[in-house]
Amino acid sequence: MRYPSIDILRMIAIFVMVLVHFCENLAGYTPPFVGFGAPLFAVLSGVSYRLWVNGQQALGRSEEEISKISVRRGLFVLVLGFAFNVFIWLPEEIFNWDVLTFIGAALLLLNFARQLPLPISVLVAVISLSISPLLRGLADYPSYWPNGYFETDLTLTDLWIGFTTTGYFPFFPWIAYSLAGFVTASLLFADPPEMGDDDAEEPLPSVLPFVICGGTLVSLSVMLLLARPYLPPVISQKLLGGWTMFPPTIEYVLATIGGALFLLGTAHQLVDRNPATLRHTSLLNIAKTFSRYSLTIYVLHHVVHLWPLWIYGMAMGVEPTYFWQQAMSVQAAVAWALVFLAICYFTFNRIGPNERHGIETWMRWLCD
Amino acid sequence: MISPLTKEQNKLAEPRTPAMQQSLAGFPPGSELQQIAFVALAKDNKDGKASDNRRALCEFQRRAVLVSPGDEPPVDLLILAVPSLPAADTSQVNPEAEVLLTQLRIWVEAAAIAGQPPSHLMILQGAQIFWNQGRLAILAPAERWETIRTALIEAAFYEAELRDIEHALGTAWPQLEADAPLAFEFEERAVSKRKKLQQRFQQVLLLRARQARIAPQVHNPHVHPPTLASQVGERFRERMRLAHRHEILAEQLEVFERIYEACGQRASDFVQTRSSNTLEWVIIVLLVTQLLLGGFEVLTSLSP
Repeated sequence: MRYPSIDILRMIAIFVMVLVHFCENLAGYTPPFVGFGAPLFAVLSGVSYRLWVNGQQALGRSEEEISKISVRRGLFVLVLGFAFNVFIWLPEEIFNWDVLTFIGAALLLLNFARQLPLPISVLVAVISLSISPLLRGLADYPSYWPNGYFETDLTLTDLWIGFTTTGYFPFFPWIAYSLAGFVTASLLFADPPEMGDDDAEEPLPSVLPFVICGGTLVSLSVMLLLARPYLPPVISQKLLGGWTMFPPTIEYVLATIGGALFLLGTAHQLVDRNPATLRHTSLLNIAKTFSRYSLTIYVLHHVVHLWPLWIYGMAMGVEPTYFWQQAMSVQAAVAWALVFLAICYFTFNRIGPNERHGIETWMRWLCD
Repeated sequence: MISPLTKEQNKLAEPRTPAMQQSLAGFPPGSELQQIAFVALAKDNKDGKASDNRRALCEFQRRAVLVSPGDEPPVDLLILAVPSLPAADTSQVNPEAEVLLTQLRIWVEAAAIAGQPPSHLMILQGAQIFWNQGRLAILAPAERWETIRTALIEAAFYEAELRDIEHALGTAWPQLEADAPLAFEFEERAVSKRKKLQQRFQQVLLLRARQARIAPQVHNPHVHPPTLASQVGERFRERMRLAHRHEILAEQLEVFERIYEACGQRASDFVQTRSSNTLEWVIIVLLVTQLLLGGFEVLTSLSP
């Protein structure tokens, strides 16, 4: 079942990421809303996986079949992530552990998590968040970020440390996002009633616990940020770290997970459970278009704004990355981002709702 | 089995309303229309006191009381008693009697339900009785009304009970078919249905109790020597196939009981197993975390 609220949130996540990447990579400017797109995208990956599993179960697919498809999809996204790193960020960045490699790994874990009781997923999410400062301390995180971006040696140890702890999107604590989305979807989005079942009269799950939980996590994060200067150094420096995405501190993760849960609950109540929203078909159609092609747009927007930089740099006889973060003004970068999004919408919308092209189609063709 | 109340107990006057009087129009003078509801016995009430002070006609498993239209509880049974016409020459067809019989049939069939026989007719010791679901018409000498009516009220109650159970089971079959897979295997997605399954099992047990409670009356052997009242009741039971229907219901209820009992067992087993599994997984996750931290420490110590 397709939920318009998820389409809208995914569209927002894509918009945020496109704008942030254009501004950062082309103009060297960090917008104030940086760090909100990827967490929402990661939470929605968990939500989508749960809904996809529900759909497969409703179709009567066996658990074994679902597991096989899940593993294939996870590996597809993982390999796509490596290919993305090679072709977008150039071969030496193959193991920078970007968001696609993380989502691929997360899908593999979610396939395992769906067979376990939900409290275990919550426990794993809490543990992954709790141990991430310890792991960063053990790994000496700053030594992997000497110049403000991730650098690693091609040794097995460093690859493992990068994947789990020090990369751009390390498994710990980012897996907490996917698990949070997965658990939320399991509880919030009720399965459609089966034939002959009179459970259709049962009330839908309330969104209030999720909204309250989200608000509580955001409040907790704010309290930790405010209290941090007054806490003992062992806590304020080793456990907490202020508001940073690299590394993803406890405060950052709590606030972004909380914000995503809050948005998910609110949007589900206001959009999915509100028949009046069906009137806004054009808006929902835009959201649906961006949502259906989110993976393609994610890859494509890097191609269209980074490849010209690399090619222009090489053509000018300098390092391919010479013009990175200094190619144009912020206004121009924003304008290009908006133009890109508009072209994406018109192109994908023109393809039509029944025709599908892009990376999502390749994934279905190969994995399903 | 049945205890008709004495005149002293029937202190209240029969409710007569304009609507009832209007519905008697066209019937011979002296005809009576009674609207009857079945209420719980005084001893079945929590305080043991009779909360209903309306006129009671008889008591068996319930108390049959006279009610007015719009009253609570709603009317369960309508009985029209019409005095039989003076005896005429039996060799000739009495057109007046034929018209009256047709009138009574039409009155009874007004409550007929599509797909069911419109009405039944019973002739016994000069009394002619038409009946249908919720309506009875008696054409008999007035002095026999009380006897026939009391017997019919009780028999009609048991028939209504059976019909009610049959209806409840009949509507529950699709749900049973949907729930049947859970009698074999319970899964995580079905946990939210536990409360519903519990309610359905309770409903089945209640139906079983109701079915068992009327068994002595449904299977009651014929009384000897026979009386008019006993014959009316026995004939009614036979014509409505109460014993046969009662046995079929027992078989159907057994199917429901077995499936929902198995569902309950599976659900209970599943929840217990899940609890212990959760605990085991908590331990496993904590051990894996410890291993991860230990392994990570070793790895980082190996890094140059």
